[in-house]
Amino acid sequence: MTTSPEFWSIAVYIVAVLGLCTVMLGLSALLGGRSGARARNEPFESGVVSASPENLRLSAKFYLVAVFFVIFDVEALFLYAWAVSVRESGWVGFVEAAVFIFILLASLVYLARIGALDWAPASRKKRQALQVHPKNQGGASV
Amino acid sequence: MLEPIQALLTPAVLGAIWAAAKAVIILLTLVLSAAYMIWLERRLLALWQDRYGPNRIGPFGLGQVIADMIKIFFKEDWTPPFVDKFTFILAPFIAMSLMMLAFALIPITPNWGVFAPDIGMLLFFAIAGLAVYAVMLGGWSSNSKYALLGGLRSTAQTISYEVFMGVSLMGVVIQAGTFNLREIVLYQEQHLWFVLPQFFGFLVWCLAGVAVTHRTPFDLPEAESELAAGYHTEYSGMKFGMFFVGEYVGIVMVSGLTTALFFGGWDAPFSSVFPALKTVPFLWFAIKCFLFMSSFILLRAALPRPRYDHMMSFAWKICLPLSLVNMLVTAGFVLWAGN
Repeated sequence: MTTSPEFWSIAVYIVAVLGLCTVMLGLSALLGGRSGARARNEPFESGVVSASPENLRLSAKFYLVAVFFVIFDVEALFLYAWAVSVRESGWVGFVEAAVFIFILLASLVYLARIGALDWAPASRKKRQALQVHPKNQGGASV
Repeated sequence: MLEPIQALLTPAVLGAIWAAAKAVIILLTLVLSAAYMIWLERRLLALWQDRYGPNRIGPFGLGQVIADMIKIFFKEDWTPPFVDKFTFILAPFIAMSLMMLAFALIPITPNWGVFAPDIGMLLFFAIAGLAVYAVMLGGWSSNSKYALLGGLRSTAQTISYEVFMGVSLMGVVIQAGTFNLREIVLYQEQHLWFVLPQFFGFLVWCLAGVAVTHRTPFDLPEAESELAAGYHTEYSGMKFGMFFVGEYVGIVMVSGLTTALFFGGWDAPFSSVFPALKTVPFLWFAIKCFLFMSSFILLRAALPRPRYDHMMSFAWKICLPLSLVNMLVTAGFVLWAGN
């Protein structure tokens, strides 16, 4: 078994953190009051009666961002391994990493060009560009 | 009767006990500074907005934190019937404990600091990555539309800022040649503080660091004007309190990390001219940390909240390429200077 002081310090720290969080949750469960009311067991929707509990359709954009994250973060991992050994791998490693980073940047530019990083769909963007907002005109038009 | 105890107290055992005591002291100091960060934030915001802020309980209102803590412990610990119970309770637990665990990696003074593994920085990335689960699970398990939307937005935003967070710190790793945070600080004692040679890395890291804590201007997940309270809409009592305290622990943690990575940790400024300044390493760490913590509050006081799509495209189109180029230039410079 490891007996270096650092082992004990991190072990005690982890136990103390977990213990503290558990105590905080447990204490409030013990000490807190209890009450009830007619409409309190419904999800909060600013006072409006919920139309449907399910069927919340979400923008596919969120999943796209998740996929980009996986792609770019995994590629960043290769760069971490290179970063810590830059001096050892020398100029050869540098050229290889540079090629890798340029491919990453090229794919990023490609993603930006096909509009994958724009949050609003292209159709709405066009509509917004065409729309003339009366406020921006200083109230002259309308 | 004392002999068996004396026999047990070998230097190794004493060292272990002292190390454990240090860990507990560090944790308590962290929690205390996070709690008083709430007081500081309210007082500073009040100062900048020309009002008093909490000044009733105790001197300067310092007792406010204790009063609030007692109050929140006696609030109803409500788990709504429509939620996924286990995940609902797990989420605030994750939010608070992970931010505290990340603080273990920060070297405070030459002799103080919980844990300094050689993979310190990678461990930090792992913890920051896991912290996303707090908002994701909190939003998902609530079974509420505001919470789910807030949780999703927050997740998308956090992972977008996490992609370049790691890359932005790689400049520091390249120069110091290690992932060990303590060695990074020791390197800065001999050389320039990284804020100067790694200025662009520092700027990008600041953005990523603020995004990790979900603070203004990156508090869109909880944009109260459009999403109620975002992922913690359905939370109340101490479970909400743990999200809240977790946020402040996160501020202290990110401030400590910025200090260690870019501002020389415990190293005193101008220590080569005035060696006497080196005698109080903890004071320097605390001063630097305090400055960063206050600037978090200043950010909140000074900046409006950006639009969500602006923020996302800023992360992908500006910060990520900038940090990649910064990394490449740093590596080229290190090699050029080395040869």
